Amino acid sequence: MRGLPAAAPDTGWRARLDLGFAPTPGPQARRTRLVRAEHSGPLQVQRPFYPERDGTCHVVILHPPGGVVGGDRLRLDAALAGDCGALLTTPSAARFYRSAGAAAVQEQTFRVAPGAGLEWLPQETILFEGARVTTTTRIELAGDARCLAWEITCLGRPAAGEGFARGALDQHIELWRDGAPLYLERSRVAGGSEAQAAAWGFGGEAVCATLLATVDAADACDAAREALGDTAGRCAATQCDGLLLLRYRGPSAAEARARFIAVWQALRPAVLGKAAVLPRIWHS
Amino acid sequence: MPTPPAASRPLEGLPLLRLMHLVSPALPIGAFAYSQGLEGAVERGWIADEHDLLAWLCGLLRHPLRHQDAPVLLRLHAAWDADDLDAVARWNAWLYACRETRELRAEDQHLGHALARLLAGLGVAGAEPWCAGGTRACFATLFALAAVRWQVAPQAAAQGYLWAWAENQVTAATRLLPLGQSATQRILAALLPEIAACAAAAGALPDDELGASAPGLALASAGHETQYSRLFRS
Repeated sequence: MRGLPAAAPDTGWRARLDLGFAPTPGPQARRTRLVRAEHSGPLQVQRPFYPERDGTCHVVILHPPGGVVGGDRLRLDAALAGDCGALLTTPSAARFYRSAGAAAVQEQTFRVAPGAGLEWLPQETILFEGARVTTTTRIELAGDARCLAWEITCLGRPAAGEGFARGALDQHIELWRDGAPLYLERSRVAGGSEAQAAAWGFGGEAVCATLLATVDAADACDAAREALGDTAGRCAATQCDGLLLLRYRGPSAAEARARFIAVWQALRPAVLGKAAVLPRIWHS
Repeated sequence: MPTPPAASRPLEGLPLLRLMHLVSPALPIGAFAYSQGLEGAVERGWIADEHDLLAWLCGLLRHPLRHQDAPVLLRLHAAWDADDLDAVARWNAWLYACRETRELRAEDQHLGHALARLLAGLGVAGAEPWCAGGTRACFATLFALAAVRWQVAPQAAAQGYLWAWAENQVTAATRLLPLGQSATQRILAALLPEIAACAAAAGALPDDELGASAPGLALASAGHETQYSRLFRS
């Protein structure tokens, strides 16, 4: 703060990661392979894990700098070919630092072909006091493609006693199927704004989170509610148009994650036809 | 002096009367059965009095209605006016996808279908295909159709739409909270300048500014699904 020069808008590096997944060719093996992993700048992917019998590809996406500053632009693209399964996660929270001016931009686009199933289960995104962030998570399904994804966003660092009195978030969470929108959520909140404090908005809470899953089973919402247990009004599930939607608004990203993991475990058989297997990185 | 364009002329005569018809709480579309998350918010203790209610309604007017309903209504108005049915379908789907819970989607569909049937019964061209239960019909989509067919200019249509929403919300609130008649009228009076500002801002909103989620409304509405005692369907 004191006398530090403001980052010029064009000093931020650009990082890009482009992933492609496809089923192993051949009749019997059904392992999903990571067939493309092109990166520029500090966004990378670890060697895939295969902890599941059906060959679901578990991938950990790394951002070694750990934090993002104003003016930075990060872009992740992942495409799943037909009839494969991939679970993508991150090893730690994404951190966006205070910006003197320019917004940091993050774009994450997932394209899922018919028969394929995507899981996007990242750790939380933390906006430091004064961060300015525009972030888009867009999932494009084709045909009967399935997905289960979440985003957990924390304004400020409550554990460190830091709030979010300045800065701004513009977050898009979009789910499309065959070019038609299924769910469009755009959260816009500025530090110190009415939207941050108001009951209809963030309600003065630091953490807002959304889980969405494609699911047709009529009892999916009941199963999600059972997995949630008593949430003290901080988390609620709803189901419509082949979607299960779960919202969390509360003080703790860890609580949001724990609740989302419980629902993910309960719903995975209905969404993807397989029991939940925790990504290895979550144990460490 | 040249005649001002139709869109900015004050509404009078038949178009004004038709707008009054369209926004009347007596319009038989069943809007009285829906609280749009208000009942859930009252249950959670977020809205307990006149002050809370006004803050809740102003917030919704300044955010989701200003960035979703009102600007999309204006786009639907333009699309119907140009007979661009692809654009009508696109904005209808877009607005529907912004509804964040099952009850909010069901409410919008129910009112949309009911208005479609009412308009079809009055011989309004274009309403018939939106009556079927299988189609997704947002209320704003049919409201815009009626406005175009009845020569209600875009800004007046947006103001009418927002007024109908506000009046329905305040009426629902009187069944949920101990609000006196004078409090109800104070709230409606206070909402009028908000409605005018909301419609005006919506008219200037570019496409890349569209969209504003209301996380608290989504929580209240989703929670309402399992609420023990309910007066309203949303």
